[in-house]
Amino acid sequence: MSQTQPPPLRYIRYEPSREDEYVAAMRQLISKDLSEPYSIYVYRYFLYQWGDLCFMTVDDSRPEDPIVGVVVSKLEPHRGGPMRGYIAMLAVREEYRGRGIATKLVRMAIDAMIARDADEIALETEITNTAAMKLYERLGFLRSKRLHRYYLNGNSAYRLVLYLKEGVGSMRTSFDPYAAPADARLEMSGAAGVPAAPAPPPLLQGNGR
Amino acid sequence: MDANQAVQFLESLIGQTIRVHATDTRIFVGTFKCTDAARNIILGNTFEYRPPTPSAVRDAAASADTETSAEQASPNIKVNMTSRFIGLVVVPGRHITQIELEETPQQNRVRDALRKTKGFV
Amino acid sequence: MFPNSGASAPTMRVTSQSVVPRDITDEFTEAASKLSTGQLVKDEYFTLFEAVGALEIMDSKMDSGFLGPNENHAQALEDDYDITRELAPEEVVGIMDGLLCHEMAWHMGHPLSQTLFTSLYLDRLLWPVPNTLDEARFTRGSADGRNEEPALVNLVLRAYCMALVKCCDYVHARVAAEYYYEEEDFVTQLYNRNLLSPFDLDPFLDLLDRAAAWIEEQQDGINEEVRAAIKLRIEFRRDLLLGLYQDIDVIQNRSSDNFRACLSRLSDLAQSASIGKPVPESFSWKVQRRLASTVPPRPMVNISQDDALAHLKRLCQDGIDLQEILDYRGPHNFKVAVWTMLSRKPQPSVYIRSLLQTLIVNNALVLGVVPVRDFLYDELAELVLPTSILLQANTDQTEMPSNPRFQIAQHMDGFVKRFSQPFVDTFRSACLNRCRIRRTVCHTLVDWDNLQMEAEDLDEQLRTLSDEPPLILSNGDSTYSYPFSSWAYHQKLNQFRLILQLGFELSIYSPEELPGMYWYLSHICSTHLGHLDRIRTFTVATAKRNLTALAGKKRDAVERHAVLQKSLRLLERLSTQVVAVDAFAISLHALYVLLDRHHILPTASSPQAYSSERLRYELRMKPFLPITLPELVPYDDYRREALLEGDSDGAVLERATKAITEARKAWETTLANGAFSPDQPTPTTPAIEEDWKKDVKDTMRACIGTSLAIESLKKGLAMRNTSKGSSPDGPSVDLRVDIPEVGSKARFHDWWAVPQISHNTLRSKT
Repeated sequence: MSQTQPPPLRYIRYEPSREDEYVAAMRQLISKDLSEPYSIYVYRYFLYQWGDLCFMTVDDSRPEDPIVGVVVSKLEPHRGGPMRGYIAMLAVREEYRGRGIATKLVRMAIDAMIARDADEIALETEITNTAAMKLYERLGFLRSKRLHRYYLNGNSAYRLVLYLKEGVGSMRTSFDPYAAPADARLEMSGAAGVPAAPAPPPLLQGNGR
Repeated sequence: MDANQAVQFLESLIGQTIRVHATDTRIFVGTFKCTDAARNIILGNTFEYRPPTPSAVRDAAASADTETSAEQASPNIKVNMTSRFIGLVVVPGRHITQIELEETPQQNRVRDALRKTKGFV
Repeated sequence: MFPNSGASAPTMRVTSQSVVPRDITDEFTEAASKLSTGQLVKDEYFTLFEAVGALEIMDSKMDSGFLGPNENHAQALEDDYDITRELAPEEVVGIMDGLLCHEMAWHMGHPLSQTLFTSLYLDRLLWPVPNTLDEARFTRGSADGRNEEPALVNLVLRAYCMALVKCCDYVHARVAAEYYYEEEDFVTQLYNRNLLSPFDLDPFLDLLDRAAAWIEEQQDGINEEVRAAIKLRIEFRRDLLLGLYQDIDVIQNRSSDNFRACLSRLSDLAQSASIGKPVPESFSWKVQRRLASTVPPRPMVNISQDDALAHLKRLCQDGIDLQEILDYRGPHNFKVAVWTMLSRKPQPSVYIRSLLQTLIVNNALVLGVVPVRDFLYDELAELVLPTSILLQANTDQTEMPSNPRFQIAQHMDGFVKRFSQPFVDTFRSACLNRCRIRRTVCHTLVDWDNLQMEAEDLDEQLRTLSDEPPLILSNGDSTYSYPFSSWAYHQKLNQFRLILQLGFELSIYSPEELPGMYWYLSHICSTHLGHLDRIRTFTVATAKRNLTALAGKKRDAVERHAVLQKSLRLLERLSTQVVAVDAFAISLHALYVLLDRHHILPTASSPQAYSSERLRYELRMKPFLPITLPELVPYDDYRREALLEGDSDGAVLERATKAITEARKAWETTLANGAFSPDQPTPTTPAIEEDWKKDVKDTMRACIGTSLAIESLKKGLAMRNTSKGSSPDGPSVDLRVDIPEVGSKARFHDWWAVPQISHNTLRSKT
């Protein structure tokens, strides 16, 4: 069979000096794939602080639009405790799927986080996105909780977590369930990341709020 | 205006109420939070203002007619722009046609004075 | 995928003094052009993280005010639809049914902006916010605002719409008053409008009555069938309005008449739906462009009439059935009733769950009549302190601070203050959505761990004051009952079990975790059984002491005897249930160990996974890591136990078989014991008992499924031993294992992942 070889792909790390070019390509790729809409500042939030955890797949055979895959992540202490990596977005152009590109991108992100001493990695994925669930579970992620109607489209999600070191589960965090929910809404990996969600419950106390 | 002056000018606007006019004729009024080289402007506590629709103008004219029929008809009909709260927004630079700063008359005088002395702003 | 975040509720824009806008376009543009790529000028207190929540204007996915390139201004905001136009009677039916669909979609958790508020009729009634009911008209703003013609629109449809909005008002108020999760369960956002909340019920009933009377008179004008359909909808709306108006007054009224009436009309409602002629142009998602909204635009939600009616039917049925929990019959039976009702599939709607939350406790009264203190005491008396002096002491009766009874009463007051809320919350948490129940219990587990330690201190202080006699063990050591901490531990173990079982229900565990998780479930059960035994030992000892008094035929002693026996029966009932869970878990554990051992258990993780089994165990034990008791099982012990290392296949099969036989017996006994302890006055609760029985029977079917799986595996293993062609690397056993997903027919029960084992027919010969 003289089937044409699939074009060789390159994997590159995000480069801040090429923000305009890269972010535009990323936005196009991601807005097609993911149900959640993101503004330019969503990308900036991740890329300005953790651009080194962002990787792209490039297909040079299509110079007009070479970026065919992307992963966007962050890494910071979780509630003052373990260093938690977070995979925020992952997208691969439709016609490039099934070639292990997404797995390779996620592996690069994880490896970069490990190099930066991550203790654990977390992410959310839509329950209906079986391909993504399989991908992450193959890499050793476990479902830690199910998030009811997590996304704007009403779909539920699983939080998937991967521990990278022993003792992560017992690391102290500053989280106090009784504390006033001051900025809890902004905790993006918590359920409070959902639009207009009330702060996580100080458990169930008196009626009303 | 050099780069330093540019930053100074933009920083002087932080926290002020500005009106951003968009290509589609809407006006966004909110607190200036952030911008970048492409003039992507973040506004907080934003209200969206939209010019009245032709039918609203028509209705207003009609009711002005009925109300003022006994009196002297006023030639000018006032129709408010419709407004609504939309919170925190980014107005992309490429969709911005005009930017206005809301000032009190006093602030306005001070600015003018500053402009004359410093040669910018 | 990273979720979007939104901003808080809308406020009015306030401009305190005259402002002069100054054009700064040029200066701004020039200044911005001097910034370099990636350089931001921003408020130092404004973080990029906050910026994430900003909606991008002119992006169709984020900007609810965005008009498409082909839309002209007028069309984009206003629909050509004329709200005052005449409607055919069939169209009125169609609009009413369309509104009902949107109403139910809202009940299901969709925002008003995507459902009811897309109705141009409702929009006209509700905006601008009417100051009087009279202002809420379709004809408002037009020259003849008082016109009631055509009556079909301005009388009949208006009455229906007004009453519908009032129904929503009652629902909104109940949900908003209780614990629910915005966006997850319900969206309370009203976009600066209100649901006619300032107005009382009566005028709405009047409107409906006038509409019904008018329709009645139209024998000549409107076809009989259509007239009946409209009348039916008005009557149904009246019943629903009254049912929702009753709300928590159900405690006093004990009436389910209105929901029953609704229910009785549903089949006619469904049948007559075909008469209706939909008017889709009277609904428009463009309304979102005018609503105060801090969220991206979303398409109109369209649910089918069948789905809407099914949801409505369950709402009414749940509304009727919740009567069955209103009679108080002790904490144990109450808990069974609450959890059974709320575990219905599909889960009762957020309105019913909110209503139940209020009924469970409101103003420190359980079910409107039992003070929370008495409720807590009843629980303690049922389980750990039958006949105890500790629950009888009262500060009001003894005023001498030196009197031990006074001191006991003081301690008990402190106890009640500390424990009432967490205890009541073990009931209220049933009202959350299933995902939240598990997450909440993971948190309360830590609280109960602390409560148990506090209770232990209390136990020691009260033991002296109440002069508790020690129990002498067979080895001569003496011990005490520690009633309060024992009880707290019992609560905690219940929560352990719930976390695990909800883990199965919510499909949290991957297939390769199943051997370990069922092992851990059985480990928790056996710990719990040991604990129940300990409690029983002390109750038996008290009963023995009482026998001496009983011999003296003291009246107190006779009463005490009855109470003690009752408590022992409850402990027996609880033990039977835990045994049933335990035995089933042991059997599934053994079964899964063999599937794993012979490499026929599906696995989610690949050999190239980043995590080791040890790390995965740690993650899985995360909710339990901070808990002092029961102690965490160290990984190596867990692995040994969970893999049944050293046990032959035969021994493990034997274990699975024996355990499932025991489980089936225990579940049969549980079923025979019934849902409720007969020791408490039992009102008739047919619906809840039916649910409870179905749950147990489903579990028993799962047991039978497990027996079959064990048999299949046994055969498969036997065949392998006789056949010679098995390869050393691949699966050595020629069996295929499927684990039916939750919700599928083959999954007999959510809490029991029973594998289906079949012979591989497509056997590879290469």
